[in-house]
Order: sequence, then C-alpha cells, then structure tokens
Amino acid sequence: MDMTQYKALFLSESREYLRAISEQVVALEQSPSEPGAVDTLFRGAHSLKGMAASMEYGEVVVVAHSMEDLMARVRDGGLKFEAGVADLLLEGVDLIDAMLNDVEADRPVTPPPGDYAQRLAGYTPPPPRKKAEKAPPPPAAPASPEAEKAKEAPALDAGTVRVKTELLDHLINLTGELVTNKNRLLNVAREAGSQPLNDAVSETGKLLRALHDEVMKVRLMPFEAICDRFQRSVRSLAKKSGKEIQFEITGRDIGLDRGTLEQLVDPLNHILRNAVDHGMEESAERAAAGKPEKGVVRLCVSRDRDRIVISVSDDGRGMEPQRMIDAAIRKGVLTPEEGEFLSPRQALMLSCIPGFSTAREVTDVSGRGVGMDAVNAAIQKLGGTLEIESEPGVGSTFTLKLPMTIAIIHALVVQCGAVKGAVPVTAVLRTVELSRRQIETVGKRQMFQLDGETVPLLSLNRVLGLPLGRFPNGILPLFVTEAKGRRVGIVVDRLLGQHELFVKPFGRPLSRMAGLAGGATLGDGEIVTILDLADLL
Amino acid sequence: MIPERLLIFSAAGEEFALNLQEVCEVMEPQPSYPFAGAPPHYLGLINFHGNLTALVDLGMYLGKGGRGAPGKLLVLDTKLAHLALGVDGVSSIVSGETVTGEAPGEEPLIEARLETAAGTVRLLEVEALLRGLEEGLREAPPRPQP
Amino acid sequence: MATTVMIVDDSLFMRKMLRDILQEEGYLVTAEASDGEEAVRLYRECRPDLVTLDIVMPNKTGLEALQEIMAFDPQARVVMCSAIGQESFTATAMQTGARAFILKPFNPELVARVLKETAQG
Repeated sequence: MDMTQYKALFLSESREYLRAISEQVVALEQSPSEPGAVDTLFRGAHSLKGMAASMEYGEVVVVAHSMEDLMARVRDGGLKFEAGVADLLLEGVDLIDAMLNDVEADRPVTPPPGDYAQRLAGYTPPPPRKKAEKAPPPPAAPASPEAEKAKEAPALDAGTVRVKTELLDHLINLTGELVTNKNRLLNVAREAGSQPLNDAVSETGKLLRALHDEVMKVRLMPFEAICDRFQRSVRSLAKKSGKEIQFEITGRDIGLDRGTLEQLVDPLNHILRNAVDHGMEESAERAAAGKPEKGVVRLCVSRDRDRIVISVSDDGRGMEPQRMIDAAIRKGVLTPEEGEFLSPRQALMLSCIPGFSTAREVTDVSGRGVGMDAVNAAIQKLGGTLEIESEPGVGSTFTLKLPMTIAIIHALVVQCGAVKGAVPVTAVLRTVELSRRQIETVGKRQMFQLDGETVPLLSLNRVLGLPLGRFPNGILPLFVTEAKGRRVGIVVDRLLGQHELFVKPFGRPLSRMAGLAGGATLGDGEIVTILDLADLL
Repeated sequence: MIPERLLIFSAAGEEFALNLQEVCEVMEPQPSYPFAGAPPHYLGLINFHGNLTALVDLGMYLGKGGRGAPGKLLVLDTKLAHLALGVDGVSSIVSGETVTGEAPGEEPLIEARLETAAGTVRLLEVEALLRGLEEGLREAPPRPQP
Repeated sequence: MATTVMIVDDSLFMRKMLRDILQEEGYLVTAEASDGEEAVRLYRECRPDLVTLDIVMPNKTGLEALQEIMAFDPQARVVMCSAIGQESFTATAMQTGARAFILKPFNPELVARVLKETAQG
C-alpha cells in the first residue's frame, strides 16, 4: 500500500495529538485529580503509536509506546503523576516533534536517545523530600460533564474539509487584488464622471468587503492552537525560579488570524516571562504581604467587536510609576523635567523604550535581548496596541488589542518629498494642520499645544532621511501618534487621505529592512510602503 | 558547477552571467515608485504580477557605475526573492556546454569567471547577492539628515 | 448490493486508511464515527452490515460501545481493531460478541480477508 499519500494527514494529526498531550500534562500537574486527563494522555500516545506504526516510522513508535506504557502505569494507579512523569512525557513530545519535522522535510529521522525508553520503563518516583510536607493542594472542583467534553480534542464533523494553507493564502491574495482593482475602477468612474458606473463600483466594493471578511474567517484559528506553548513555558519558568504559580487561560476558542497567531507567540511569551520572573514575588515575600503563597497568572482572550483583546495579568508586586521614571532619568532616556509631566500610565509605558529595563538583576530566565520594546514593536506591526496597568502590591495587567484580520487595513497615506508612505490608522490619534506661529521652541525641540498638553514635533522627512519640506503657505500638515508612551506630532509634506490598503509583505531582500511593515498598491497603481512607526521612532 | 543555461548581460559596461533558472523574466524598464530609508542603489519598487518587487541598480550596487536609467530589468525567480536587477542590456542566452573555461570568481558575489563564445563573463551568485543586499539594509538604517 | 461498513476510530488518519482499503475491496463505507458514543448512535441510524471498531477511544471505549451495539442488535457483525499488547481486551470483546479482530498497523490483504469472512459468516 502506498503510504506517502497519508503523510500530510499523519503529520497534521500527530501534531494535534502532541499538542493535546503537552496541554494535558500541564493541566494534570496543576490539578492531579483529573482522571479524564490521564485517559486523554494515554489515548494520545496510543493513537500516535498506531499511526506511526502504519507509516512505519519505527523510532516514533518506540517513543510513543514508552509514553503509552508510562501513562498506563499512572492510569492503573501504580504510579503517581508528578513532576518527574511530566518531564519524561514532555521530553517525549519534543522528541516526536523533532522526528515529525524530519519526516516532513524528507530527512532521515533523528533517532531518539537510546536510553529514553529505558528511563520511562524503569521510572520510579523520587522519595518524598525530608522537608516539611507541603499541604496537599486543594481538591479540584469536580469537572462538569460538559467541561470534560470540551477538553477532548474536537472531533471532525462531516461538514468540514481540510484545506492547504497555501490555497487560503492564494484566495486572500486574489481578494486583495480585487480590492485594489476596485479602487482603480473607482478612479476611472470618477474621471469619467459616470454616476451609474460609480454606483456599480461602490456596490462591488461592498460585496468585496463581505467576500474579504468571509475569506479571512477561513484563516481564523482558535487561540487554543498556541496555548500549550505558554503552559509549557510558564511551567518551566516557575520551576526554574522556584515560584509557585497557578496559570489560567480563558478564551481558548476565540479565533484569530493564523498569521497573527504565529506572531503572538514570542511577545506573549515575553510578557508571561516578565510576569513570572519579575512580577511575581517569592512565596515568603507573598506570605509576608498577606497574599496566598501561590501566585496567579491569567491569560485572557476575548473579542470586542472587530478587535481581539488579550490580557496577561498577575497578582504580583506590581510596578511603581515613580520608580520607572527615576530609572528612565538615570538611564538618560528622559530629562527630569519631562519626567514631571508623565502620567502614571505614560510612566509604565516607559518600559517599551528600547534598552529600558527595571529588572535589578539579569537571571538565567529573564529574557535578555528582547525587552518590552520588542514586544511593543511586534504588536504594532500587527496593527495592534499595548497598554499597561499596574497597582503596586496588587499586580500588573498587560493588554493587547489587535485587529481580527491583518491583510486589509485602513491607512493614512502621506507624502514626504518624492516618497509616499502609509501609516495604519490604528497608529494615528488625529491629524492637525498647524500654523507656523503655533510652534513653540523649547531648547532645541519644537513643540505645539494639543488639548492642553505640550506635544513635541518630529519631521517624518528627517526620520526617513529625506529633504525637509518647505511649507510656503506657513501651514504644516501633521498627524499625532503615540511613541514611547507619549504623544508626538509627525510633520509630513502632505496628508493624502485615508485609503483602504491590501498589505503585502515584502520578500527578500526588503523583508529585512527595519521600519517597513510591507507595501500596498494604490488605486492608480502607485506603490506605497507601510511605515512601521514603532520601528522608525 | 556550471548551470545548464546562462543569461549573459551587461551592467556598468561589464559582462555578467546568471543561471537562467534563477531569472524569471527579462522586462523592459517600467516606472518604479521610490521608497525611503534604503541605500541609493535601490531605485524603487515595481509591481511584478502582484509581487511588490525591489528594483536595484546592479552596476551601482557592485560599485562599478553611477545611477543611469537601466536598459533592461532582470526579475529573479519569485521563489528566491522579490527583486529585479536593473542592467544595461541582455546579450544572449548560452548553453552551459559551450563554456570553454572556468576560473574561481575571486570577487565577492562572483561564483566563477567563465570563458564563453561571448567572451569572459562573471557568474553572479544569487544567494550571496541577496545576503549582501540584506546586510546592507540592516547596516543602513534611515539616517536623519541634519 | 455492496456490503455496508461503519468505521469507528478516533484517528482521522486511521479512518482514512481503512476507508481506502475497504473501498478498494468494493465495500460501501456508510458511516464513520470518531468515538464510542457516536458509534452507538450511528449504528442505530445506519444499521451497517459490518463495523470496524477501535478499542481506545474517548467518550466510551470500543468495549463499551460494543456492549451497547450488541445489546441493541445481537446480530451485529463487529470486527475489533486492536494494537499489539491489547490481547486481554480482544478476549473480552470476543466474549461480548465481536466476530473477529484485526491488528494495527493494518495489513490490507489481511483486513480484506477478515472482513470478507465476517461478512459471509
């Protein structure tokens, strides 16, 4: 029998099982009294083994079989599920994952370490530590039958089909091209001065918008798809730092664009890492403050109309705005005068300035290199925003707001010299036409008054390395955006209005260029680049 | 290894070759749209069948010539990159079998010097070219003008 | 008329493979179930001539489903699918009324032979 035809299905289904296994392992560690989870784990390993045997991937069979046997010992009550078992199972998940990648790339499969099977077969739990016995964790509330059901991997119902992701991307591309073409037609209709043509094109535009929404829905994947990574990273961080942490995820079923989902893994992991490493106190410190010893970290996903809201909150020590300001002044990123004007909210956003960190020490796990600045940039690249709230002693919440879909955006098109660029409207607070005499010069900087606040001015031409504008009529067009937690007026040569753009990513070599988030074609065929202000400013 | 077929072209007065498989189209010059922040050898962006494609003046990038209007655009295989090279002109396509001599390139980005019926040509290494361009973009962030 | 079959397995991969083997042999796959509960429900609805029933499944194991199917239709022709190492389950299944069993990974010829015997027997 020719098995190659089953390879793609084997890979996708095996990965689903791996994901279910790592999720259940972490869930079991949090509440060990869940018989359903043990069964699911056992079944996952069993099914993986069966499929791999059919495909004749012997190495995968060996690992899955060892995992299945270990789970059988747990299920039959001979072995207690504890951290040692969890570690072995997660190691198995990683081994199989690596082998699946080999299979996918048509490489020879990396054999698992020879002793893996033996370690599982001969595994005995470590003797209980001499240390004072910890109080047993409170018994988990008995799960309702519905909740049990929800945990099972969703069965594929007969009304669904599997579609290759390239096909979806192609569909979206075509839809986007149609939108671009519609804009071209709209220009023609305007030039021809034909009202019927204009009406027909407008109607087509509405239909295209509906088509686009439907096509984008197909790309949606539940947040669930990336949950296991967070559970695993929080688990290992908590272990490394020796803190007791309860990690909760809600809103797993909320759908997000596949592309967005992938781009969210690193930023969210970083925020979670900060929460565990820096946000959360040691047990003793918590006890002294009258808090429960076990800290809680929550990851909540929800929908607010056409936006996705993701928040990470902890009940740790919180952040002190004044400490952030002091640190920023010490590091020279803020003058003491500027510091005085910052609101507490703005002060917290200081953590998003490149190089800024209030961590007093760098631990093995604190995520050197990427800081909150990288997180903020990644979120902005997705057309989203980041907000930080914190109360000293009570905890912090990081809230990400993201558009549901990313391919078609509304953007403000601006002209600087010979160059046209587009800024997503999500990054634009408002536009202003400023008369020269409204400009105040403070030291070397030019400022203007906006709603009673002094806002600095910056020339986009200067940022982009272009010749500066002249403004013969004395009016400076600008848009207001937020950078590093404060409002900034960005002066351009001309504001060309808001456009609906189909954003295309750049390929090599421009994909490596900082400050560009892709490009788009305007209705007249002209190409504009999407400016990534977070990167540029 | 000598490619099966070579596209021979000139840039800044010198003869170069590309593996024909790595080129997906030779185009007449067309309007490109400027974008900011890139080094001067980037002439702008063109729309190639829906792909936003960077147009680079090859002679200028290789440091061999000034910025003149290119005579032809060589669009690289879109699986490799979204890049078009502006060159002076294309002279011929020759079979790899007609190459009579091969010597090491001894220059960055040049894989080999090949002796062909059309004379000595430098075979460009596309991957090295792409890596070089990418590094150039990383090194040259938009420089604020004073 | 073609013999109708219901395939029960929680793995889509396994169902697809079995379906291909069975269709090649001229069977008509009229139902697929991905867990024990669905298997019992679909058996009542479709009354297939043959059932291939996996053992390890969520929401009722294959053995539990087998009991319910046999209670509903003592004439049901059920073939258990089991993996090596599940001999104890196989024995229980045969006592409960399963006609035969096939081993995973599937050998197409063997599967065809066992099903043919079960359909005729």
